[in-house]
Amino acid sequence: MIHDHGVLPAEPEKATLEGRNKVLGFWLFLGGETVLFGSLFATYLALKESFVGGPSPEELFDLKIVALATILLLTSSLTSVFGVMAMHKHNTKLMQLWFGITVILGAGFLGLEVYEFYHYYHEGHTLTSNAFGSAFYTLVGFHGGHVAFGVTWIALLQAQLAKKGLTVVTAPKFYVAALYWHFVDLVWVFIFTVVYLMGKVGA
Amino acid sequence: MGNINLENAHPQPKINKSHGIGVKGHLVAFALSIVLTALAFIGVIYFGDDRSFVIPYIIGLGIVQALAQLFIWMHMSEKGHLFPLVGMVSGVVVILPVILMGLYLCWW
Repeated sequence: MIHDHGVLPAEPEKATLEGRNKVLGFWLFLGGETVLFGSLFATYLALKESFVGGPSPEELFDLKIVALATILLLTSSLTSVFGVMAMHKHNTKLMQLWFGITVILGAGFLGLEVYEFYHYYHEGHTLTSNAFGSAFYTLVGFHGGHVAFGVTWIALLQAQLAKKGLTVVTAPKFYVAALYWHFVDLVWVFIFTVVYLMGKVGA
Repeated sequence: MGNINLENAHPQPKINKSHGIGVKGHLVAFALSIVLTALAFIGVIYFGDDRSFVIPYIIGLGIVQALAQLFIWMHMSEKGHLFPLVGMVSGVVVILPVILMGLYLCWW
């Protein structure tokens, strides 16, 4: 293990074979995640007009909340980029700040989603109300689950960073978590496009 | 975990060279994402009646934004990202026919 700051290379996440393999393996995982979300999107697209017995997407969605959620998630992607840049400068304090902001923004996004789902539930749009409901909650809920996982993961990594400091062991974890976070943001781009905006366009 | 040899590690200077996007570049990418998102929302709010225009328009904006994020924020444009590209492209190659077939079976 390397603890001496003088030896830590500029890009500590790529300094060891283990670190590089972690990044490569994570990309292959993201390829699989693409397939997972793709199949959920295909299901949603197939079932989105089957809203008999409940409100239609057009009646349901509120673009203001979606726009706010999008801005929160996009900004959190930017702050995680800044976190990785701080890592490349070996600035642990700045890393904690940027990743901390990322976690807070992610939690804000989750809060909005919980509020949104609660609201929908009271309008008669539930997981079991119709096929549209099932497809909607599975797709958007899976994404929300990813956000919740990412928030927890990054927060735990921050605790580990505070305890162990920045090393060639902790650095790849942050790099990979940042990749995951960008991917979650990327999936949201398609969710707000395909689910919310296309839902507003109507049948 | 103990046998980490930094001397024989990856040639660092090469990686550093391809890492030149900087804070400014990321801010530009962020602004681009916001603009693309705003364009999609505006398109739906003002031209929502014309489905045959709006749907390809917002899907196109989404794909542009996804590519921008992959290559700028996820470092895909940097050197040594051939395998990540293979991983992602194979994911897309698997799922795109599934989505298109689902659309075809349901809507055409």
